[in-house]
Amino acid sequence: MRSFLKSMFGGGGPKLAEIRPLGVSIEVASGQTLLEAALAQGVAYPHNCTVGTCGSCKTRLLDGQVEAASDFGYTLSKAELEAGYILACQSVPRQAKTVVEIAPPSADLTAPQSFAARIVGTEALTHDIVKMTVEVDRPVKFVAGQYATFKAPGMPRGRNYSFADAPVRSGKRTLAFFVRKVPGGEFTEALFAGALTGKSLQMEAPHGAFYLRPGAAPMVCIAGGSGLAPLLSVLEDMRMRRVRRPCTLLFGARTQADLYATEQIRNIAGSSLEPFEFVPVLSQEPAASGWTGARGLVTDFIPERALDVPAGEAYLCGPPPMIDAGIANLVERGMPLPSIFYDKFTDGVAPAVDEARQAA
Amino acid sequence: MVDYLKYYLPPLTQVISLWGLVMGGDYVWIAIAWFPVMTILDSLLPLDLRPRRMKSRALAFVPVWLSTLLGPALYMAMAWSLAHHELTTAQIAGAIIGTAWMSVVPLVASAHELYHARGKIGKTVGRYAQVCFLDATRMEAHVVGHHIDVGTAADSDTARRGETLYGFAPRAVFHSTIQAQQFISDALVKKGYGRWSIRHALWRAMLAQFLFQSLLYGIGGWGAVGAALAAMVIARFWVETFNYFQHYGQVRVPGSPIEKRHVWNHFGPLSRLLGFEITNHADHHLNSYLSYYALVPHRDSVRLPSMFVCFLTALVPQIWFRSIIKPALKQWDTQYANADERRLAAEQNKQAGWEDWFGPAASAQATTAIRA
Repeated sequence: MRSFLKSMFGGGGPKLAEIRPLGVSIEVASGQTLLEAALAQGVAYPHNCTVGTCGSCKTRLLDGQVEAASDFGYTLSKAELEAGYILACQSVPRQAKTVVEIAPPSADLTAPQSFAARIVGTEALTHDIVKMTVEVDRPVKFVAGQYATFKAPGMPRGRNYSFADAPVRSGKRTLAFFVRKVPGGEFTEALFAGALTGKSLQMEAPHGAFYLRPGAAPMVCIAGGSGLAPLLSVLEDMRMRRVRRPCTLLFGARTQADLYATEQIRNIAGSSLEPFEFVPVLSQEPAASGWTGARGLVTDFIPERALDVPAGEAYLCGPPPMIDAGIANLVERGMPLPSIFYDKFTDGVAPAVDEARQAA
Repeated sequence: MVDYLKYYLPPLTQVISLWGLVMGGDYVWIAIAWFPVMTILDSLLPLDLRPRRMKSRALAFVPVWLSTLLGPALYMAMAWSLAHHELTTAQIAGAIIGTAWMSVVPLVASAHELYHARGKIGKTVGRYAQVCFLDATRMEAHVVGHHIDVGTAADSDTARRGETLYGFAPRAVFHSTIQAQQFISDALVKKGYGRWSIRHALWRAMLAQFLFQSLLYGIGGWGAVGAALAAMVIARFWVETFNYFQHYGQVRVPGSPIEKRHVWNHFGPLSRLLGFEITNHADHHLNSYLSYYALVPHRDSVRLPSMFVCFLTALVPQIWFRSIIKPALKQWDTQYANADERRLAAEQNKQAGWEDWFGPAASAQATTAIRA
């Protein structure tokens, strides 16, 4: 009876909650949810809607019991409920000590499936990169940073493109990809000529192991060309889930005409809860132009503070030479290899390698 | 302390209205009279953009509880009045419309505040007080649907550009009711129960409605039941009209982050007080776990007139479109929307047959991107 009354009126003393992998313990006042208590104590807990709907604060309950202020089943799947996942924004601890683990993005990985797809729009981002908008026959679930494989009629070889938008829990039927035109490339030549618009394609997704790792470490992101797509997906997803991590985004391009999505990046930077630095770097900008920003190879501009060795992480997407130079630079400056994650975009001419992306 | 006292205005209007119903005669008109009074005062007073200086949650929730409990109490007063006074047909109509209005302002807002809070009793009382507008499963449609879908086609509370109040209200009533039942059924299935298991909240909502109507029958007989049902049906549609102008024409790319620009705010001082800050809207959608008194007004936003004025003008679509919402949307589209939202907005403007305030280049781009 006493515990019943306490649960009804929120009685009882404060409880302790250990939050992994952040390695912090917080005090949860009577009637407070895990998320409320964490945010009040300055803990960078991923969250968004705070009403138990978006799933951004998905957490695994490792020890203890919680009471659901609002049914977890509105948002979490049957498998997630059975696996012990809860939503921090709706969880009120019931025992003196609770141990939870914030679910990493990889907890939402799913096996690839085949979809019927149709290109419904293209929009020029630069002279040789378009944003390709695709509609699929049913919602696609993916993790930010992953990619899809497309097959067009008469083109037996698949083309891989990274999702450029943030995912949603229920899946998305309208998807965006950034595609760079490859001279002589069968798929991209047809796409840029408008010959693929409205055509039926086969799409297989999601693929790839390039996604944000858990934790609160500073991160440096390096993008080249259409390699910005998966990083935008990751950064938008972080923004939506209010993931708090200091970030430096280096975006390498040849000239000012090759820069794109800068308004979107500035929006991300403006709403970031931790320091966010955006550094566009141009490698072939005419010396006489009015460009006052960085010039040279993008991988030469990794700032010291972005490394924060050994805790920092690096995420690289773009052409293989850029990735190789970036890794070499990072390792030379003390970042361990396991903290570097990359996705190489090849143009379909070089032999395919693990993690490589064919852009044509 | 003054900030705490201000929020006693909503229960005060309810208590005076309740007194009017008990007194009978022309006093029954008091409840609906608040509407024009508040419309005039809210329009005349300067906007209130100040955050509140309130720290005590317990104190801040006293008027919220009072307003929520006074909602059903007004129905009981109306039932008693019908049984004990010889009211004219006009006075009965006045009592019904007044009780309906009180079910909307402030009850919708106070119940909303309670079911958003995490306390079990508050949630339960907030849920079942909504029998006053026949929607005791509103919490699911609002929290599970609206809060994630706001500004998109999936949101039952967001009216498309060109849609009139008369088209929107019935569609929203139908859509939100069906959606709520689906959410509840889906959650039950995930836990291994049947879609229409006895645990479905709809059955408890119907039982609550039956018990409440039985109580009203006990107080005032079938006449009271009929009058209460009439007030509840009116209130149910009236509630949706508030969604109409709180979200009208807003666009957001599904799955993109919800940001402060994605809702309209009403910062009239009485709009804020009588709505328990439900019109201090942006921060509620961004930080939904915050209690009403902790919400911070979004100053850098398009200014709309008083929520009462918005409702009245929405009754005449031409005035609503021409004088209120088109200028607001034009400002929103050109100053606040991002590139993708401008494209969605241009498409909706075109479908609504509205003038093109983006210029031909943007429209052509929109057509290419969305229709190509």
